[in-house]
This record gives sequence, structure tokens and C-alpha cells, in this order.
Amino acid sequence: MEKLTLAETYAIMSKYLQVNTSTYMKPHLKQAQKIFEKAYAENTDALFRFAYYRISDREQALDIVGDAFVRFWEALAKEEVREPRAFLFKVTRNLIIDWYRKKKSIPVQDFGETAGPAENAEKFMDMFAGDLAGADVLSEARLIIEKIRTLEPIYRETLYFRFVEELSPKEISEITGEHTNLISVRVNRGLKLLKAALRI
Amino acid sequence: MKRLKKLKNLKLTDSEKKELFARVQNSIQKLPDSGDAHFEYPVPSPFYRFAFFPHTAFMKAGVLALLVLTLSGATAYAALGALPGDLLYGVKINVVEKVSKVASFTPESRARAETARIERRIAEFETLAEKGELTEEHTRVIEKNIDEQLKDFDRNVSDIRQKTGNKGQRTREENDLDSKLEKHVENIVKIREEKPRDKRALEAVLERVEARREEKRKEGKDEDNDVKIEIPSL
Repeated sequence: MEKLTLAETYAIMSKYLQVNTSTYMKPHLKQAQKIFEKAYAENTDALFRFAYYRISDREQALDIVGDAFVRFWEALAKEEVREPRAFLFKVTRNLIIDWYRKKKSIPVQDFGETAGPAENAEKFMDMFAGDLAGADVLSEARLIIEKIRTLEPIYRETLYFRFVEELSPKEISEITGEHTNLISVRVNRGLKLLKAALRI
Repeated sequence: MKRLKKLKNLKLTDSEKKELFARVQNSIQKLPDSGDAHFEYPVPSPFYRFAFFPHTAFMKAGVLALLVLTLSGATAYAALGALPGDLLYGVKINVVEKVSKVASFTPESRARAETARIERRIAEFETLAEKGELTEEHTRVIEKNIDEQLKDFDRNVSDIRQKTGNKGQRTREENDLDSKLEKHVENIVKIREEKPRDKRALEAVLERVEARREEKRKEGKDEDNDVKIEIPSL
């Protein structure tokens, strides 16, 4: 008789024996479940904030964060995720880019006149580029956002990750795919520019 | 860049988080190899923010500095005024108050220490309500602490009874706690009238006090020496 794999046994138990297999879950999935719940408790606000500051749409930001957690679970169930926070930010960031690329309803002229839509779509979704005038953002935060908007887009995201979400240059490099040294340089330059903008 | 931290104030509400969690769980369960995952909605630990500390040398230095400060009397003093949600609140509950408890040797002094702790929890609740900063999370934290401290108080009262051979009569410590609760109930009722927005949370604490009275009434312990706590209907 052919021997069943563990996964097949669970599937049969669940389907025919009406057993809640979560109690018989594979050990690595139980561990993954704990990691997932912890990551959800600790990162949901940060991921939502990040998505919202980029796309300025609360509902859409919530959808993106939800999708990011589903992808996080898929990865956890398959393999070990060494840096859950960096992983979640990276997935959220990629989902935001995908969303903008798919967003066909935005007329090309809204992105600018000279470059093609895909290139401009990414420009359009730069940190704090959208209208954040809603009640969601406090007035003191809005003042800071105004100053950050005066910086070049390459500095906005780096400063945001470093000083708002308190990520290390190594984590930022994992999220953006850029070298750690480059991130450190951007943090320093961006900070100088922001201080000048804030006159401090 | 402290100013940049102001951007952190943008957060999801508890109900949004729960709703999103349910949606995520639903999507995961539809995945082919989900292993019948069933998650429990996680309540974040008030200490989880410390997990982010050791990322940089600055953060490590910060942790060290925080430890030194925590051990100093100045921090202990500052922590006494901390409210739920404050960084020092954990120090207040888990260090300062526990140390003061260790210094109580008799069940009477331990019961008095518990009375003071319960009073402090209710005072925190009142302060937050007056400031209009009461959240579901704060209420939950305070309620949990009150429940634990009431249990400790009852344990000490039963030790006092055993020690003195008093089986039926109310102890001085119980009367003391009830009269203090009565004062706070009056105060909470007053705040409730001024801050109807927090009515639900205020109701929760009043109900707790009422439930305790009911329990005691059932036990028949307050037959002779009943301390009336009138709670106006909500």
C-alpha cells in the first residue's frame, strides 16, 4: 500500500473525518502561524501608513496591506522568512508599484507630458506625492509633509523608512534592493536637506 | 528627527485591524496549501516596540541608557504618574508597584497595598477619561489590572480572616476598599455626564464595581455592614 504524505493525511482528516486539522498542523506551519500573528500585531499600522502616504487612498491602502499579509503567509508556509518586517515592507512596496502600473484609468497627461506612462506612474506614486488633505493626517504632520515634498523623491522614501519607521539601513536596502552604503549616503544627504528646509 | 515621528500618528482603528485580519484569514484559508490555518487575532504586547531597538548602535546605546534610567529612583518617581499607553507605564505596574508590594509583610499591609493599586488604576482611568484619551486598549489594560488586583486583595482578605478567626464579619480592609470605590464611582458618574463620548468605557468600569458588589452580596458577607454604592442607571 502506498504511504500517504503528512499533508495528504491532514487533507483526508479535514475532508472526511470533519476534524479540525489546525491542532494537527505540521510543526513548521504552527511556528509560521505564531510568526504571522506576531508580525500582524506589530506591523499593520506601519504598513498601512506607508501605503497610505504613497497612494493617498485609505481603502486601497487597506487592500494592499491585506494582500501583503497573504503573500507573507504564502512565503512563511514554504520557507523561513528571516526579516518579517523588511519582507512585509518590500511586498507592500511592490504591490503599490503593481497597483499603479495596472491603474489604467489614470490619464497619461496626469503623469506629465514627456515620459511614457509606466515610468511616470512610478514618479506619480512617490512618497507624499498625492493629496493628503483628508482628516486622516494631523495638521502638524501635514507641515512636515510639506517640507518633505520639497526634497527629491529619492530622499523622501529613505528618510521615511529611517526616521518614521525606524528601519536600519540594512533593512531599507533589503526593501529597496539598493546597496546599504547608498542608503546611508541618502539618509545623511536627505537629512541635511530636510534640516535646511525646516531651518534647523 | 523627532518631528518626523509625528507622521507615525496615522494608525488604523481596532475595528479596522480586526476586519482586515478576518479578510486576510479568509483569503489564506482559500489558498490550496494553507494547512487549514486558523489564526487568532493578535493583541500586541505593550513591549513589542522594544523589539526594534537593537537595530543600530544608537538604539543599543538607547537600550542601555533606558536600563540605567529604569533602575534609578528618578524614573521610578516619574513612572508613578505614567498612564496606559505611556512608555513608563510598564515600569510603574511591573517594577515600582511590585517592589512596594514586596515590602509589605502582613496580609493586612498587602491588602492595603492592593487597595492603593486598585485606586491608582481607577484614578488612571478617570484621568484618561477627563483628558478624552480613553481608548478600548487602555480600558482593556486597566480592567485586566483591576481584576488581577481584586483577586490579590481577596486572597489577602481570606488570609486575614484565617489569621484572626473572623468568619462572617467584614474586615476593615474590605470596608476601606468599598468606601474608596464609592468615591470613585461618584467621580466616574460625574465624568460620564461631562464626557458622553466615553460612556461605553465608563460603563464598563461601573459595571465591574457593581458586579463585585453583587458577588459580595451573594456571598452574604455584607449583611450587617453594607456599604451602599449607588450607581445611577445608564
